[in-house]
Amino acid sequence: MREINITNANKRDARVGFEASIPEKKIKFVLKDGGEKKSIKLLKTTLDIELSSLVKKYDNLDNLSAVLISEDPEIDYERSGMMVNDLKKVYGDDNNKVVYQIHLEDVIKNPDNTVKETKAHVETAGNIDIDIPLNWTGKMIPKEQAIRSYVFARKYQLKHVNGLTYDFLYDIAKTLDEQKSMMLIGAGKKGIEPLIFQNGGTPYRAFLEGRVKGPQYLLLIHLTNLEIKEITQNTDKQ
Amino acid sequence: MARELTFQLNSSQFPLSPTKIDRSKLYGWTETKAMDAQNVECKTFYMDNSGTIMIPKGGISYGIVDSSGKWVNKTDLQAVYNDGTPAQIISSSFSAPIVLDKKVTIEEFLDHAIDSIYELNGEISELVKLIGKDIYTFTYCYRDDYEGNPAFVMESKGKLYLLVGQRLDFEFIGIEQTGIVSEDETEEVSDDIDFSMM
Repeated sequence: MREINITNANKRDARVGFEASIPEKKIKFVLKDGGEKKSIKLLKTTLDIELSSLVKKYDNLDNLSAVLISEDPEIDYERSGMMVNDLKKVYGDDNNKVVYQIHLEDVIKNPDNTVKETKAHVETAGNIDIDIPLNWTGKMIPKEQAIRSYVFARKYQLKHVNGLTYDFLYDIAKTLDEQKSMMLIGAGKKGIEPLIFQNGGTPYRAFLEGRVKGPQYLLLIHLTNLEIKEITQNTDKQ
Repeated sequence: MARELTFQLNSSQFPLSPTKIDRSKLYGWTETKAMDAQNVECKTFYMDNSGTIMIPKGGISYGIVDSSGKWVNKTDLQAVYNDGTPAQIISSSFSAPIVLDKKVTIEEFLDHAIDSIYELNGEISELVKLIGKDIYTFTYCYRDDYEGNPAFVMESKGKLYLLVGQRLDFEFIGIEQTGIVSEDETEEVSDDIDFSMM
């Protein structure tokens, strides 16, 4: 279980635990005798015998076609079909040579596939920092409205780590349960940023939902990066 | 013609076409490109751990073997439940009317992580009135398969949506169930496109 820092309505903060629930797979595929199977990766072709390389080697498609009729330049009898593991992604130029110095560029596109902006790629920085607590923004949204406004794709459960944090989280859950509402929480120094759980991660808006049952509580963070709304007319992706 | 899901409620049937909603359609998307020193876009390929084999995109295939390394065809596999009993095929949701006879509470709905959402298009006005503020659930299967997913039909701003997801098992906890934080724990997450407003 990871640690997170969160504030309540009274601006009191506490470090608590949070964890996801991994859905269990109900079905698996096995061999007819019940034995386990193993998935493998096989080499189909290499860069030096794929089409673009062969066209360069024989100058043009016509020459390549003639060679293909009499020989099998597109098959590597030694290596085709071999098992491959631990592949590394590399970048190359048009001559299929590895390029060692690259820079990343983001091309931001509109829903209609037109280019909105091109800029240098900047990796998102994680902002779940235990030194800066997640902020109780005060923006409450009724559950009934929240579920019809946002798609909640990921969830985490907050859990107490001692008696004090039990009281802290239980009170939050009780408040939210009584109001049948969810609370928008924000990250970062200003407490209004979306949550990013690790460097390079996706920003999500986060809503806190609480339920109580006697002395027990359930406090969930629901994450969303998609609104429930109609697709407009001019959104054909090419 | 788009495939239709036929929903049945109170003995009336409503054929509707689902259109998937994703972030690219609402907000656009970002393509990340690798550029060389001359600002020319680079290609991507793969290298094996010996560094001697360069593999283009599409140069890898996948296969299945048994414990002794012998090749196994997919048709030779069987689907089983976790207890080892043979799994049963579930028909595609497109093959027969979906009877909406099971409702869930808001909390039961929130116990699910939603993987995909579809706008339901067609003659929806009567079905919108019948559904009201209820949330109906059924098991959704895109094609005949061994496992379906929990799906929900609900109204939002006069439109109907189908949400498909996975049930998560969160439990109520009391003071005795104190959690233990582990600093080494990491989580694998998939990277998706951002909200355009972020």
